[in-house]
Amino acid sequence: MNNTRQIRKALVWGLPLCLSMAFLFGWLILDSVIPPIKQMIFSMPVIRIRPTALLAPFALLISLVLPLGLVLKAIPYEGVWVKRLEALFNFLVFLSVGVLCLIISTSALAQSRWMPRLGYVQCDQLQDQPSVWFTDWVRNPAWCVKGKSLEWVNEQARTSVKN
Amino acid sequence: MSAELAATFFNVGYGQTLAQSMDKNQVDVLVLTQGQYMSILQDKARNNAALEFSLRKMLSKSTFGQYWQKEFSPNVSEPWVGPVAQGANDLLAIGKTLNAIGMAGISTYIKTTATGTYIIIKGYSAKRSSALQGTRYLATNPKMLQLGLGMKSLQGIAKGGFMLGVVVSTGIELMDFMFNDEKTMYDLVGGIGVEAVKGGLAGLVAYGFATLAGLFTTVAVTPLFVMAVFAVVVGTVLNAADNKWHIKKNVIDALKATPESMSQGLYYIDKTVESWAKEIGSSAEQTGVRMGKSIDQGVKDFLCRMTCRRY
Repeated sequence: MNNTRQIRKALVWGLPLCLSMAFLFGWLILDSVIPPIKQMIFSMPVIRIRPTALLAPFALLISLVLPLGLVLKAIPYEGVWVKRLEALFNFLVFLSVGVLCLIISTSALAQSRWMPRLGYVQCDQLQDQPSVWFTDWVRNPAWCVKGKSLEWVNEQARTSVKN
Repeated sequence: MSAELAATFFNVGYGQTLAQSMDKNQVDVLVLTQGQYMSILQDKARNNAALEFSLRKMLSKSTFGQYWQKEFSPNVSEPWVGPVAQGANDLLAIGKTLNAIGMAGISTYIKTTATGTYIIIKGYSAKRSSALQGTRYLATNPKMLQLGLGMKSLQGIAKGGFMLGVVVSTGIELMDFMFNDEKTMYDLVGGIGVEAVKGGLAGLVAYGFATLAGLFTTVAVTPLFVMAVFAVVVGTVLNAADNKWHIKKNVIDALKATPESMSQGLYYIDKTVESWAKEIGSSAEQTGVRMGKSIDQGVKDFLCRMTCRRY
């Protein structure tokens, strides 16, 4: 009962927090997870890779499962679905910690090994650098110009194709 | 006159000329330590843009400046730097906790009873750290507070994580300002401000999610794991949003535009502004209380529709 009261109080701020963050994680997937994969497939002139954005799908699922489970517990509903959701939640959290450790340990090596093979060169001069959150890769080292945006690089690539 | 005498006269005359010349060209020599010299230079550079530019140029061309620009700055975007900066404290706590309870103790859970909240340690005690031989600890036990078990201990870890994130991001901004001669004071102040806000928000959201996780699951290590993951992923979201909508650039541009957009002259401070600010503050407070009450009532009504158990 004591826990139920705490859950109900926490839901007042927890529900908007979870749903707003779920929306942001969805946006992150559309902005930083899918585009780099597409850009790699279509050999685009510039790719901005945010390795930690790979956690966004897990974070999205966690932010949807967590409020759902809390609402059920706040009712209070003691059925089997709460236990299943709790197990799913724990599994997702443990999995995401594993993915985080994997990203930290392998993504730098993977990028430095595979991106040059795909014909890309690392560029640390573009707009918003230096940053701890992403790495930029360009197909042509001449497009790695200090302070220029990703759109500028794409524009340069289009111009060079026309010429 | 002998040659010897002539030489003596010449020497005397030369000596007198030399003494006169020295009298005319007196200079004061001030012996300074390196720190005193730098502080004088700093003071001069404050009002002299050309001197500041020269000093910045010298710094950027120094060995450390070259090292920053050619070695450190390009590698700052290596994937381990961001996550480590944002979640190092959490990862350290995870390591310490798992080391103390052992892998068999991963199913350690939290039990709330009438006498208090307890952390029940699972697994074979011989496989655990020798400092943790009991099977049941109060959540407020100092041993538990040192580990990442229970919500009380997460508060300290969250604060530590936020501080570390701010220190790392501020350090990078500061080094970039010192050794990149194109960066201005506006870039430094705006950059540090935006990075601190991002770090604070990420830490706060991560702590919020950890609190909710602590209410949902009984597994004691899950809130700590949630905090580690969310500190990193929320930091990533905020950074992506910053890049997408150029928040940092807009803040820096606004800072740059402030002195230019103000016309010179004497300004009269309108004291009525204080009363306006108080009125706005109190009305915002009242609105907040009203909204809180209505949300609370709404949630109660919503929950009561499913099972009418008033609390």
